[in-house]
Amino acid sequence: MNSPIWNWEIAVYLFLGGMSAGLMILSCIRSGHSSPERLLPFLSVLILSVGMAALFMDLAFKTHVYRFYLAFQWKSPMSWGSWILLGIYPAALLFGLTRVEEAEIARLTPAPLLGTIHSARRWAISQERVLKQTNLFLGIALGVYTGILLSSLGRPAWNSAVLGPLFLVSGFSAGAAILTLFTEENNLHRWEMHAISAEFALILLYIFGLTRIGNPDGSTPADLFLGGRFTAIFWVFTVMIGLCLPFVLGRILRPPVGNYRFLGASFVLIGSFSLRWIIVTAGQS
Amino acid sequence: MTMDTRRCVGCNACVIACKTENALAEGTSRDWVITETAGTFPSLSQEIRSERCNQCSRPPCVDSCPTRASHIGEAGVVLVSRNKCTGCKACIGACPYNARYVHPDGFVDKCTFCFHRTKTGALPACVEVCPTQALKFGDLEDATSEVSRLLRARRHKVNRPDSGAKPNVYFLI
Repeated sequence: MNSPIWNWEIAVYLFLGGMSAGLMILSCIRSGHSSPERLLPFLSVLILSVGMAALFMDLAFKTHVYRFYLAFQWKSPMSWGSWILLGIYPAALLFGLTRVEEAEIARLTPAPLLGTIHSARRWAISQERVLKQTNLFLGIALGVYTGILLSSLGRPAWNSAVLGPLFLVSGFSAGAAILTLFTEENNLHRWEMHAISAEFALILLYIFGLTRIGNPDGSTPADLFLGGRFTAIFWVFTVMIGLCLPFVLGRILRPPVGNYRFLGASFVLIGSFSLRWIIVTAGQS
Repeated sequence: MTMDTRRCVGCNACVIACKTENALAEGTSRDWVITETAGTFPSLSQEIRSERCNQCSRPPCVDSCPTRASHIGEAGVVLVSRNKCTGCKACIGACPYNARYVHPDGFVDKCTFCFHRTKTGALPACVEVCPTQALKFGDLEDATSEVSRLLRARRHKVNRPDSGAKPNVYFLI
């Protein structure tokens, strides 16, 4: 009766969902004029789709997946998440259309769809401000939801409201790391440094919060990370590799360039994935 | 439901009866027996409990279900509509008692207090088969029922009272 409920599929889904949320937020708070940044809304949808494929793989009754959209349960974070995911597709794709040229659309779109896409683009451009605000809201909602999904289930190591903001910041950091691979703007580096600092503070708050929860045997869920089963993997992969190394690289090189830029981004991505993987697993131990 | 920890001998008849009555798939069970030993030798005490879904009055599994597959049915029994279940397992994560599992066919399954029997006036299979009569089933809101009388007469506890789920399986101690 104690076999794991959720395995790698959910860790991958939460990681890619968070990354997609980060890219959506970045697409709203940055100008989007440079070549890679123009495509952020489309990239966020692509990454989210891969994450949703992992989520689909985890469903035990796959042919009932449509049931998510025949009900809304306000007390169920998974229900909120399902509807948020559904809202992201039109919002992000329409927002993306505001940043591509008509000629680009003509080159990439099959002829029968061309008229519809052009009309959608014209409408999206007229509603650009609303779309930007909607994308920002949905991006934040998605990032927070990936953490609340776990924290709402009441298991000791998940029993923390900090998980929502922690996964949001970590997702933002992962999104910035992906963007770092394609652009060298100093401005982006500043956002990354802030995100890493905030994530570190939230991790400390999360663990501190867990020390205040008592298990029946006198232990606390914080013991999992402070001497218990997940101590080494958490502090090495999530904290040292995922936060400390990219932060130190960023402070020394201001910002890292060339191979160091790729190295720093890779460290952030490793840390961001390990955070989900470890917390998903720790909550079920 | 009440479960008398002083009568239970841990024979597992309740587990077998449930498996047979509900034709459970291999490797799955809706109830189980726990043996808990406390103290330091030679001052030891042992408690044996037959456990199952607590049919909570405030069930977190129902709150967490995104499709309303998990719901409170007639007589307060928590049920799963198989045709609505996606197998997302949120309810399994939310259950404080680990009382749910994924059926090999994909839906989430759990104890129903043998709803198909109790609605006709029969007892759940586990209660009927218990050789020491440790398990009793009845209406907790009826002051004259045997379970209400036992709860008035005996000291009792519930599992995980901290969960806030208001469980309805009482352990007589």
